[in-house]
Amino acid sequence: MNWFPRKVGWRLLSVVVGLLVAGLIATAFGRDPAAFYRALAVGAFGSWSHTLTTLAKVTPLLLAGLAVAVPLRAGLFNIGAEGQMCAGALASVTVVALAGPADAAVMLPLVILAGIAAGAAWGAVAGFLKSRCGVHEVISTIMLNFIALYTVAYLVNTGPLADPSGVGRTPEIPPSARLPLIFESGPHGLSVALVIALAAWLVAWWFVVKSVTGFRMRVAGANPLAAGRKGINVRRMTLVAMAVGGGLAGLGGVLEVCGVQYSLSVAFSPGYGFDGIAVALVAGGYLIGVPVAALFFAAVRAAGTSLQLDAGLSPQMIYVIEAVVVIAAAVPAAPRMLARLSKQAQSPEDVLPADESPTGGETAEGV
Amino acid sequence: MEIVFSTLTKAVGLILAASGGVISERAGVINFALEGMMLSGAFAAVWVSNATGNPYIALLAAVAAGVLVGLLHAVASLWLAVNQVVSSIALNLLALGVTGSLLWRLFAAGTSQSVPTLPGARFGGHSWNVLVPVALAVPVVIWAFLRFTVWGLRLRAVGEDVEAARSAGVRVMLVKFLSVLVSGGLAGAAGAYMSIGLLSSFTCGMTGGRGYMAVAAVIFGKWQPLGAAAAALLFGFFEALGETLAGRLGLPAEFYLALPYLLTLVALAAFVRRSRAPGALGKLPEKV
Repeated sequence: MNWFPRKVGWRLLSVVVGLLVAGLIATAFGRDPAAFYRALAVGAFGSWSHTLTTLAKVTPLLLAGLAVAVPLRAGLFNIGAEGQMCAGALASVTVVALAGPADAAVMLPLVILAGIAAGAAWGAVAGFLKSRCGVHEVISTIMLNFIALYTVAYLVNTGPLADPSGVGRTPEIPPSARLPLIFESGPHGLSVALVIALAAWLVAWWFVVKSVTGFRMRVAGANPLAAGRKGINVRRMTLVAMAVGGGLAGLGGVLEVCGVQYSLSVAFSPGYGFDGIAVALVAGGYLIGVPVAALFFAAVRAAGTSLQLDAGLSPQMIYVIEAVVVIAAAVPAAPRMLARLSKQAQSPEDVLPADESPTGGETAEGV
Repeated sequence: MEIVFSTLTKAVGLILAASGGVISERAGVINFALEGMMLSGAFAAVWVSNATGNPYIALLAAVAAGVLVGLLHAVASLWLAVNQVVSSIALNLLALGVTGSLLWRLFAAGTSQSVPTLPGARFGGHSWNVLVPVALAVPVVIWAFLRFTVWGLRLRAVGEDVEAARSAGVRVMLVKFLSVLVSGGLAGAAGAYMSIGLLSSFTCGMTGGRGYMAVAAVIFGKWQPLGAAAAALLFGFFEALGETLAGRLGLPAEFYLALPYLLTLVALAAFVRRSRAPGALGKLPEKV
């Protein structure tokens, strides 16, 4: 159990810290902290329909988290998950609009593939700009986010995809393009989207941890110079990493449209792409932990609406929680401190300033 | 001529923020948190302006807010050794969350009411407030500081080679710390320019990526204060261009809104091949 404090323990602690700070802020705003935490718990899991809502939110958060975590293993910060999700969602409604009436067996795979491809392409743009033009991916992905957002805004507000009644979104997609539901509880439901997302997680995990390309990608991320000397095409790995990340986010976009929202509006993502950053960092960049991190943030997001009503707090609070959790999870010294506190037998690893997290230290190329 | 004025008014905020970015990054601290610093400054300016009715006190509050965010970034990334990119992004999220929450708490809406703004001289259809000459002077001051003063030399040394600076007796951590604080103050002022200079209220997330554009300006300007200011002017031009062309070419409104981001991207992609970041950017001194 020696690894527990280092790999899992302090990530749990950072989550706890985030919740504590949120409680503090609630108190500062004059709310009763006990009521706040109760509202959180009830809002997330208090009833079957609440739980379904939480689980439904795991899908986009899991995929957004993977979209950030995979490039992170290649040493890249993908802040563009939001735009890549938009691209995927856009592709899905475009395919639906163009394909006309079709069987679900044809429509669904087509739509999903289109979404993945669109997201991958959008991610690849940033990857290309980084590998060929040296543009830092944080900046390029953020610019691309805005471009994607405005593109969607145009197309669904006044452009060719807009619903003729002018409500600011596309018409509802036909039943053949909707994912079948597993559970239902009134207006809340859980579709197979979650299953697809979990499958994607396994594929991503296999890709990063087990496949040859994934290995090359990780080496390129850890030490580009050494990787280059060993014959790894670092530029191509950058492109691959960003494309895979983008594809995962694109899948998230499609699943939101086809599994939950059934149409595309400008407000289709309440910031899932940015939540993905927090999800990936809380999981320490290790793909294994991403679903659990996603579950936590899904619970917070789902509880967010009832929080607003009960505790009078704004929806922006979630960003505060995310920020605190991210910083707490990213402190390199924390695992050592925790191991010492829990009085585990100290192996040499605990004492040396080993940097095992892919986010520790500096990026090898500076800015 | 109108577009020249537009460009200038749009660029002031970017110039201030980019200047802050130059200071921080030349001292070797990656600072992507300009966005959060600007947003915090913008909010603080509106809050204090509303509370006191005095926009100049509000401006000071904005600078203080920016410095506060800078303090958090410095503590997290210099003392706790959190990765500087991660810390920056987390702080941007934090700023978004805190300003959004406080906005709702104070004004119960997504936008604040109108507040007293920085007074300015009217000329050519625009209002020119005190921050305009400040923004034009700051890059020159920074250039002179870096080039001619001892502290400027120390800052540059810390950014190029941490160990060499330390062995020369420079207090590396102090220099890095202070430069992040200064960059926060400048970015905070930039935010104030947006909320009580150009406009008269605060909207959730109103900086809209301009902090990141400021970082792009730093890179595009090759980490030189005058270059970054020129780049900021260029990006201001992109924004002004978007506004001026809107409705003229028959393209949808969203295209002009997206134009500055697109052009920023193109500029970076096409022209940043050979620039050299400060040698020790992102690195911390080895623990002795």
